[in-house]
Amino acid sequence: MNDDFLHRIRTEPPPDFLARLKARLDLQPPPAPAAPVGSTLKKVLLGLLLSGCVFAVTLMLLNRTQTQAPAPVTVSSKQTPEIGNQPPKPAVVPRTTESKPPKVNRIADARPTALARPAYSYMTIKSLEPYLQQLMSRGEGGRAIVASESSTATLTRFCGPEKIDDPTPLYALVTRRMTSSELKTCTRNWVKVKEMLIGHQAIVLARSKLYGSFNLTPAEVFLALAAEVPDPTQPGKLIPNPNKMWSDVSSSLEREPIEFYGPEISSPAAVAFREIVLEPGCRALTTAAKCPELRKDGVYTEAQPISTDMLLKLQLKPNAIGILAYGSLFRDSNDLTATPIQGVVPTMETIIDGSYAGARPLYSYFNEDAGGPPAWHMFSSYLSSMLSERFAIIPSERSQP
Amino acid sequence: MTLEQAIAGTGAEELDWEAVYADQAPRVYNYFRFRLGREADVEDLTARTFERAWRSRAQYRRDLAGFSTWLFKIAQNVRIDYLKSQRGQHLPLDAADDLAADGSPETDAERESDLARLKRLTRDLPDRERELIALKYGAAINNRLIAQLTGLSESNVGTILHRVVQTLRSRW
Repeated sequence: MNDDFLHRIRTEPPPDFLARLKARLDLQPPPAPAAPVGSTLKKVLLGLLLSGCVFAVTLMLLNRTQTQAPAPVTVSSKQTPEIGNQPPKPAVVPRTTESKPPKVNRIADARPTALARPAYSYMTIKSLEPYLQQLMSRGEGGRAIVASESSTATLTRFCGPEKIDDPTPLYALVTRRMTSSELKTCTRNWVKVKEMLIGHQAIVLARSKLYGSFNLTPAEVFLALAAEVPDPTQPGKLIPNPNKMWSDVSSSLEREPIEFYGPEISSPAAVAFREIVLEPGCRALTTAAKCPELRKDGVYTEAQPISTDMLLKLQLKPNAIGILAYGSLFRDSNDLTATPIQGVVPTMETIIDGSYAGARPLYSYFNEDAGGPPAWHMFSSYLSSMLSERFAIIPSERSQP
Repeated sequence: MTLEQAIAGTGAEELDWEAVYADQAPRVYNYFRFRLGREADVEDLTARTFERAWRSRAQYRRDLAGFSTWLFKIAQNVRIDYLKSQRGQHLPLDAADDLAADGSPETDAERESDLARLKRLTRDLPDRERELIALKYGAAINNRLIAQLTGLSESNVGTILHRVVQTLRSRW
């Protein structure tokens, strides 16, 4: 093929340009050497060993704390709830489907058992609602009512007195731990509480290491991703999002196009992202009764978060930000780096201590007296099946500090 | 030393970055010349590409892709970012070139540089074909690497390039 005419167009770059550029590159700090595979394996093993030690120590401390704490609501008929000066704590139940069924303390007023009446659940996590609804429909109770409310409203109902026309829910899924006063209410109303820390739901914003990360706040993420944002000239009014570059969102950010790859908009992980990151950003900037949806002008592209599809996209477009479950980042951290939110990088420690704003705990409460062991085990088993990246949930075993 | 010699070591940490720079800088520089069809901004985009690559060069994983693939992915993104940042701000310089061409085609052809001629002749080609030309003749990289960068098969790359070069030569 005679293509000399094209080869001739090539030219050598000006030597002074090459020299200047090289001098600039030489000023950059030397890169950290890439870790060889053997070294990575050693680090993983060492990490596992350390994690195991930390986990064991934490368990010991937890056991000590529970022993010293005021007697919790019990699962045994020999124990009696005691509410002293210290706030009582609900019984913490390990998340396992293989543990022995707890003994049930049948109380004197002989309430109907859970399976004799509709399985009735309250929860605050909208992203999990359809799945719990599905579970309840399959349960022995036959009928199911699943409703979403705030954590406070959910726990108020859960601990409330039994009413004929408004039965007390058997289950509650909430994003915070029950307070001592709520537990007192439960106890007063003869609700025998069992608590389970399901884990932590954590969302990370990640970029290719080629471009590195930059610090963001939920408000900045909202201004970058919401379909509508507050009008700077008329506070209180929402306008279609005009922001195309990060520098449009904040002058402190780079002049780079805003591009996101995230899970399918209707998926549990995407709903979790909206609830955990976008809505707090929205609340910080607007008083709108309902926060706007994700923008649909191409800034947000749906991708499979746990497939190589997302990784490939982020490698090909290293300026783009991927919205992932924490577990995905953990697995693929060689290629991606997490964007700090409010200056906090997501790690197991920052997720558990609550300093990372892209995460929240998930607690489950179960009315043991009304449900009994079979229902409890059915529920536990189902929750176990949800502990996956699809729901962006890190199981409680892994989320132990 | 060629790039192949530079990466002949067993791992990325053993790369001779001096040699890599000497080999790759002219390739990236010419890639941008071919893509933009002019000299302006080429140095700036080349510099941006290397600065980004140098910051993260320790992340290069030889088992996943060749260093060239990685570097040219950055270059492709730098160009896309550049086009986006230019969009809507002012008429592209291409338009100014078009306005300046007021003579007959023959006179213009004599006057214009080879680069400008290439630009004129490739103006109506699909972006994918212009990208192939820039990678093949600007960056001077082989069809296998081009296939990795464009998502086409290697044989497809060869076929398209053959057809485009025939067309260009007939009009040159």
